[in-house]
Amino acid sequence: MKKILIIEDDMVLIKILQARLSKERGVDFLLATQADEGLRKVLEELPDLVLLDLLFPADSGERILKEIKGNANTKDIPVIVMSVAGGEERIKQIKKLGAADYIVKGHTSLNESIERIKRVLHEDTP
Amino acid sequence: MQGLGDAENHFKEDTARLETILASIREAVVITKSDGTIIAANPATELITGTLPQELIGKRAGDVLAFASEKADVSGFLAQALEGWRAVELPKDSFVKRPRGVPVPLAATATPLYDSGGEYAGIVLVMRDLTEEAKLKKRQYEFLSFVSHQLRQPIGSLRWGLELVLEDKESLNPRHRELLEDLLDIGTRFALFIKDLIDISRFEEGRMDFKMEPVDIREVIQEVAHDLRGTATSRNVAVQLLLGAAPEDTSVIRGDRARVRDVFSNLLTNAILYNNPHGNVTIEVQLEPYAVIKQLAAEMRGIDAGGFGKTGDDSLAANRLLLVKLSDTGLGIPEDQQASMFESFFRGRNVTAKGLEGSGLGLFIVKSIIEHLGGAIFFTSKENEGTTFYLVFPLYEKV
Repeated sequence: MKKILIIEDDMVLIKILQARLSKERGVDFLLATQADEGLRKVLEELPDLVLLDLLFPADSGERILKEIKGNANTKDIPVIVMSVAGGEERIKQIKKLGAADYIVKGHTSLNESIERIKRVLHEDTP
Repeated sequence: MQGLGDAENHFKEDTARLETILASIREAVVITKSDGTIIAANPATELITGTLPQELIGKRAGDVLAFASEKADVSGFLAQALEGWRAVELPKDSFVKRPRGVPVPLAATATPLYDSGGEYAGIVLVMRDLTEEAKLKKRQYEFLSFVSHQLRQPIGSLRWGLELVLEDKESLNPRHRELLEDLLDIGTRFALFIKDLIDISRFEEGRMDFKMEPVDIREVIQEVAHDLRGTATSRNVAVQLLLGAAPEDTSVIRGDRARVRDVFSNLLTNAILYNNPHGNVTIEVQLEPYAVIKQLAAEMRGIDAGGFGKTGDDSLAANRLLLVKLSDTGLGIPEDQQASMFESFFRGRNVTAKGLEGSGLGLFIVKSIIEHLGGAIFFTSKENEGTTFYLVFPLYEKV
């Protein structure tokens, strides 16, 4: 069973992601709607993948990404960032911080997003 | 003698009146003789140029006024004005340098002056400070950027939700399914519109990120044509690619692949959507010598960011240039609207009359990208006959 932690404050988006991902076999979810709660769950649960919304208040999403990648216990957990900001420069910067992929909310389709999530999950499988 | 005294008084009165008028004008006004020597400058000149009017008088305009622009070569502006043939305007996005401090964005026009005998006597240079306008414009685009990003979140949820429901097609009744598909279609178009809005706010704020990588134009055109084949088929429009390609021909330019794609995607979409049933679209790629491009630039309307067609500048003469010709047999652009075709929110009258959809941002984005790439785009268009775009790109030469 693969554990995916969704750190996101938009409940509608969470429902959609859960409904869609639960169709994939062998996937389990954890949820966090706040930054600190998200970080705590990353450390405690050591999920197989983190879906991280970037525009948490005051860019706390970026802080979480840095902390995950800066911690020896969690640095290998792949993180897919989701954000409404879609500039090339921004995406490059976030990937440099260690994000495995970047989904532009409102622009990337659900199907493509799911494909990318599966790709990253699969890459992680030894 | 009485008569001469009157004349002298009239002259003094006229001069005083002229000085009062000049002093009351908010724009900077500089008057020169035909050789460029400054003979008058109003107080507003100091605000723009940072130099006192009395320090300008008696000097050559070319020695004390320096203009610059990031987008165009404006070094010949004053010299061109002083030829005295016609009024000359500084291109948009120009600055005047100051002895101290940052350059000031400005609009400037130089108009020739003629004496009572009709002889060319000098120029009047009028300069307007655009600092406040630039700030206001910046705020407008920041606001546009903020709103567009805010819209992405709900549109994202709507689209994802519709996609999710539509995945179980069999469980939906056909009428509901069709309605949901239409809604998803609207959501997708709206998402593209938001992307266009974000793009134009980035271009206008100068925040557009451009990779500069080798891009094969033929490949990009093939990809775009492939992506749009469904749209073309559904509208009965035939798209023909004449990509030439002798083995020694290269079609690699320097640019941002995604942005070059945007250029062709926008133009080809227009050519298909605003075409007639059973219409044609042809895209040709060929290498052309500089002289051909120069001739094109002279004959047509368009955007020439690379300065290919500029008279007197043959610095690109040695370069091989890539010309892409995209012609359609569509609605064409009404003659009187052609001058504003590359402005944001432009919509052809004949296109809106038919109720055809579009945001009016496509050609503006094409123009902005072409400007970034140092390319050029020209066109000819005739209503009810079609439009031909000519795109020019400098080839990627390995250094």
